[in-house]
Amino acid sequence: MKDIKCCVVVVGAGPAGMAAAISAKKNGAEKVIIIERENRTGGILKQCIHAGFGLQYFGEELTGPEYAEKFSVLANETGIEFMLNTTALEIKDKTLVCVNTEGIVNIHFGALVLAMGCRERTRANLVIPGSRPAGIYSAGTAQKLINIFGHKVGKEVVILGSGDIGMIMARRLSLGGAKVKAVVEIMPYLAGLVRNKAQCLDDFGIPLMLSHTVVDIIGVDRVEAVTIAPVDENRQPIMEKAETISCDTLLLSVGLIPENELTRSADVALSGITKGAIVNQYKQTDKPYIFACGNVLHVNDLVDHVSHESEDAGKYAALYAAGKLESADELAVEPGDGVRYVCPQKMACVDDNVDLYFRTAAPGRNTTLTISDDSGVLVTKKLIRTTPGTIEKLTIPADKAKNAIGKIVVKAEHKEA
Amino acid sequence: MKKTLICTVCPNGCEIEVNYTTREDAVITGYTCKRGIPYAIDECFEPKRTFTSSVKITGTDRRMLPVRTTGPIPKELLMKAAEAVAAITLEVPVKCGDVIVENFLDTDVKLVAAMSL
Repeated sequence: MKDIKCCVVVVGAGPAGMAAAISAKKNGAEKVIIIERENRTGGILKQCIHAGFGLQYFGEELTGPEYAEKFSVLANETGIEFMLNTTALEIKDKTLVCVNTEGIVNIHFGALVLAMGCRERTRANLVIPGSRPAGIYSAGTAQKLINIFGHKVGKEVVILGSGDIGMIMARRLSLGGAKVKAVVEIMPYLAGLVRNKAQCLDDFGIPLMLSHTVVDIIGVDRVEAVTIAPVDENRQPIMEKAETISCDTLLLSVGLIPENELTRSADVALSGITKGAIVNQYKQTDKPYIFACGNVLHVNDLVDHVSHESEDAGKYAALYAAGKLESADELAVEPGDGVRYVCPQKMACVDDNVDLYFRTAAPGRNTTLTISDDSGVLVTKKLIRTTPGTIEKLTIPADKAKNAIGKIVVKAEHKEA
Repeated sequence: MKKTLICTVCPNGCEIEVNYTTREDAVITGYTCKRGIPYAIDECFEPKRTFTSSVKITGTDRRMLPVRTTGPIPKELLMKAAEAVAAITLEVPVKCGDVIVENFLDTDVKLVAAMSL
């Protein structure tokens, strides 16, 4: 057994963890360690070989591995210590229990940042009926098999779910010579970004079937076909209109869930909607020495947002560890009409700008976003259109944040559907 | 001619409308930043895409090295680009940005490594 002391320990060397660690160091934390269970830094970005990352953060279009490498180089220059091939097992008060080939390592920290990312929802989460042949993959698993290991996952593919990973895999498979027969989406609108429909589906003539779902998987050793049915307004399949599409592969791109097993070991309060920790604007959980950022906090659309949010988490973790983060009265931050969730869920009333990140509940046009407290409207913003696939951000200016009273509510109102 | 398209320059995905007979007289509306203008014109006359893929690499646990073009290439070359990179095998060490093919498919665009291995 080995014991290590540090100011800030970060769990996960993906984009969130690296941004948090660098920011912690820059904000005065002397010794910052990142724990990573894999043998390389970069997290999920290692397999996201497509371009489109970094337009906001770096002002240039990067691939996932390029984005990760920029942070990895910066982390090394900043003096962050990495412990690769090390798994975090449990949080016991202010000690993180880890294991690697040397055995158990106890890391005694001043503050801890959770940055473990998320997992994909699986067939089991959806309870799709049918047999259990080979050829059913989550989209991210297929992405890893193709982009890192060079395997071919299938020749004729149906993709369930119109999330970004699913659409990106539709293009990747098409470029690899596979035929993608359809992308099937149970909701009446696209789950991912519209640009991905344009460049991943439309470019390759792949049909998008909205308000449809997979109701049966056929095949014994290997997938032979899937049955697809339209759904009614209650998302119930209309079986008499079902059709069967032959294919050898079914990819599932049906959502992501923050990976919070470690968080639960510390008894941190979680949100039922985001499935991540409940935090204030410092990304601080109800255990004041534990902070959270990136997809373990709430599933993001863009890594650029993750980097910004994680820098906050790292900064305030460093300040907390140094005893410089003063506590203040907190107000609840809640989703109002037209908004699915808001992160953070709490706001400390201090003399500083507060960024609220949120998703709308349904797509719409000519949208007015508002933040109000019990005294009235604090912030408004008009947008040409919004979709639940995109995270919106509004900032409460310092003077209004400081004097806010009651409850903070975020609303979205569409003039047109 | 009138064309409605989704701008793919950034994640905003603006809906842009182009009214045109020639490249010169095109009237473009709906963009929210100036990067949308050249994108919309190219999209009507010679659509381009940044190509990314992965190529075989030996000498490490990762069997594929991510690669990209340094700029967009004509959209109609995407399948040809995929075939071209399937024939490449590299060996470690490779640095992010290393040029793999100088003039990729005669497009004046480079194919480069997108990761250091």
